[in-house]
Amino acid sequence: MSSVFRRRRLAEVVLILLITMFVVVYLVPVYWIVVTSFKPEGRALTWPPQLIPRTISLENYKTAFEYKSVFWYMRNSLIISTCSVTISMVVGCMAAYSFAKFKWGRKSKQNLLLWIMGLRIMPPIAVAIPIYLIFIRLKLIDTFAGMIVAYVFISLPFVIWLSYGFFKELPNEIIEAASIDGCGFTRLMTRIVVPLAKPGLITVFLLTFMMAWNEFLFAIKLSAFRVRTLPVLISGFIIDRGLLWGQLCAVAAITVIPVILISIFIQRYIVAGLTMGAIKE
Amino acid sequence: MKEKQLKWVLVLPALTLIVALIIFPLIYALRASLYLYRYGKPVEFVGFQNFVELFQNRLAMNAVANTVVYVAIAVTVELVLGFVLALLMNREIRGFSKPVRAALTIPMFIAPIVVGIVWRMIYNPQYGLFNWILGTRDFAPTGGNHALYFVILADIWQWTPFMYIILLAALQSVSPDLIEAALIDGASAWQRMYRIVLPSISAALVIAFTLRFMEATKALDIIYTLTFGGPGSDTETVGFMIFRLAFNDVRIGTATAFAWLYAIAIGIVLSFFMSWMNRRFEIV
Repeated sequence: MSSVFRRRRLAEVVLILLITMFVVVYLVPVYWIVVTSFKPEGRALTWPPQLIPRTISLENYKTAFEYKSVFWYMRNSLIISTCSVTISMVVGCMAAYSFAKFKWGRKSKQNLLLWIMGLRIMPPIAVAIPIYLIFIRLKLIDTFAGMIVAYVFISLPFVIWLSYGFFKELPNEIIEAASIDGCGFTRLMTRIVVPLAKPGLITVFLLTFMMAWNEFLFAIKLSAFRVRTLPVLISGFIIDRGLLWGQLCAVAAITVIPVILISIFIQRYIVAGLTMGAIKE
Repeated sequence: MKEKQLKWVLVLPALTLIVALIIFPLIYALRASLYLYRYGKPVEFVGFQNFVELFQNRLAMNAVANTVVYVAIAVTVELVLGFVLALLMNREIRGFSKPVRAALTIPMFIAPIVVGIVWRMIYNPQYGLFNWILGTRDFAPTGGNHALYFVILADIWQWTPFMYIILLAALQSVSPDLIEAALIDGASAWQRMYRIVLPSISAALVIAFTLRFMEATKALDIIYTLTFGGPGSDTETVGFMIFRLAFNDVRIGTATAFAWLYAIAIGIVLSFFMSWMNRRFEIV
């Protein structure tokens, strides 16, 4: 008996080792951005590649902030992502709550929800071109208003589906009891529904925020200079002859690190988030 | 306010925004697809000529072929690899499983534009890690006619964790009693797999596959920074070609026509797939 147990234990240790090795190799590209960003520009890419840098310098970050005005792009990214996601959250949650907790005909609700889901099948480029043309006419190119409105397109269907899943899980009894006690709709929302759904709603907000933060297709065409975001700054490096890999990696790291931190924070809800609420843990 | 009115009042702002931001632009695009846009000349109505010309356009057909290869290989490999990983990690090992999962989710949340950059750096023929690991020198992964496969590799790197996480969640919800009962009845590992595990996670498989399929057909950002469609048009997918037509070549009519056809094609493929799956597994 004990030998079987020992063999199992051994198998487990081997599995742990194999998986650890796999994960380490898997994350090399992420490590590579961070490490390259700390190498002085002249030695960013060398042969043979330096897996562990001999000298660590903050030079790239300094140039990125001083000459490439990364702060400016960060601020734009932050303003646009936050505003658009907030609008989507307010509008989307209202709709999702209505779908989840009011009496709808089964068919009409399913049709509406599927139809909204169907919009995500649409390649964004199909909408990006007409929005670009319309924005030129309306003089919305390179304005915060334009960018925010366009970003709502990306996030709204996602928010509706995801928060629908979270609202549906709220126990009906509590909401009914509150209504019977004469609790008005606004009070019901602020006192009961929102506090109860809070963890779910925070997840929806963060997931949608990450999508907006990483968005590139709309950003590159709808901004000219004033409202350029971090992904647009990164793509700009490619056009230059003789890539500045060190600086590029510094900017990439600045873009990626906040998102990675957020993703760790919402681990518990990631499956629900990725499948738009179709699968839960 | 009555409940009946309230439910519509709550839905209305969202529907209005969707119509204004998605439906209206799509109709606008449909109209644009009937016109010919040229630099410095007035826009000219040409009917369905843009659509007809697309079918004679060699580059467009090339982009379609690339997209089919891209989506087929990327999604299949991601699904298989993700499933294998999920099976390996299915046993909960305390203090180990969670950090591994958290670590493997990282690539998914990196902006695709950055993923393109990193792989461009790794593939660099003179200084890239790729050559160093293979022990070769001056091999350009994105330089020859195999470029598309190396772009797909970057996609696989980013999105395999997606499959892994969804399938892991599904595997963990398979009832252990069921498997134990099968074990007692003397079912082999393959039988347990085919008769119990796979049917129990079929919904998750279909959802993961469908979502990934949808996203893979939109691939654009990674290509933009990794190869910009090159060399030549070897790595140009439909999404990328539409982008180039509209914004680099200012052939708005052709681009919107292509976008419409593409959206319809994806819609048809997906609806066939979904209804077949529905009949087979009764999911939705």
